[in-house]
Amino acid sequence: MKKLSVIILIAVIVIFAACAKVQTDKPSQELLKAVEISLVIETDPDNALSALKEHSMSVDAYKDLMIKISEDDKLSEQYIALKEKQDI
Amino acid sequence: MKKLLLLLLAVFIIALPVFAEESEKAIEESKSQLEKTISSDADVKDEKQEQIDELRFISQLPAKMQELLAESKEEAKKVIYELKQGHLKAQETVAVMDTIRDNDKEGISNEGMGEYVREQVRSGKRGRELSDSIKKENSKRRENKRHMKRENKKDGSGEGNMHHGENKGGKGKGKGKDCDEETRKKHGCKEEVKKESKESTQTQRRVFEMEKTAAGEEASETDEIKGEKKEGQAVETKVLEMKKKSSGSRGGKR
Repeated sequence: MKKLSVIILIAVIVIFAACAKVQTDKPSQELLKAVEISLVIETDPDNALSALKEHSMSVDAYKDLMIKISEDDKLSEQYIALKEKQDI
Repeated sequence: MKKLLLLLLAVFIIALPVFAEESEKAIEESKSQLEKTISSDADVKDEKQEQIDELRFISQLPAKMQELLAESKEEAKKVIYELKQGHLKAQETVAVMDTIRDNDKEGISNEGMGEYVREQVRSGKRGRELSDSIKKENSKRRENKRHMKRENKKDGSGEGNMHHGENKGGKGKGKGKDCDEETRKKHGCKEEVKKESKESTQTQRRVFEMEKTAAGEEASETDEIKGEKKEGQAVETKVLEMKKKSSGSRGGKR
């Protein structure tokens, strides 16, 4: 019985770790939002503010998010890669 | 009756300019109101445009950041901090980052650039004034770099690593070469130096081969000449023998 509980515990830990890894590898919702909005800003600047509204974001919030991304090397790499993908 | 008519006409003539003035006033008022509404609309439009510009520039930040060298990123982060605090606009921040990137490309040091921008911003400089002072600072740095290069050339020794306005002493002739951004990012100037040395060895080889072939041609030429000379000598000896024979035969006849 003890053995079984230990095995279950280990399995839970392994699954949890795997899920966590998958979550870190996946781009966050915020990053996706940033990419989508920035694409609108670049391609159709007149609709930039409405794109922000669509994503329920204020100008300041978007600004903060972009600063956060640019300060983080990994995030900015992901951002650029996603943007290139979306552009294609 | 006539008098009454005349009186009415006089009153009408007197009152006409007054009415005209009032109507002019009304027109002016309506004009001013219209102008006000138009200007307020323009203000709203300007504000909107400003916001869009801000968004446009701020979207460029991550890409701009990735263009910088690791050391310069720290300086850029200081500038971004000022943006975060609301002391700088996104456009100004991007302009500073462009300057930092250009310095990276030209091998000019960005050390203390973030601090310098912060000082300028704290002293109240914005817009054109700020960009002018950054340009001044940059020209100083450029001049500094040139000076270092000249000194490096004068010394003639010490490996010229001019990326950051430093002269790191070492072996070799001091050239102070600037590498392109990618090679610097990956391997520093060594890659460039390796390429150059490879090229120089290749050219040396080519020169050596050319000399060799030239020498070979010369040698073959001398051989030919020698052969010709030998042939000439053989012909001469044959002619002499023939002469001797002919003279011998003539003597015998006599």
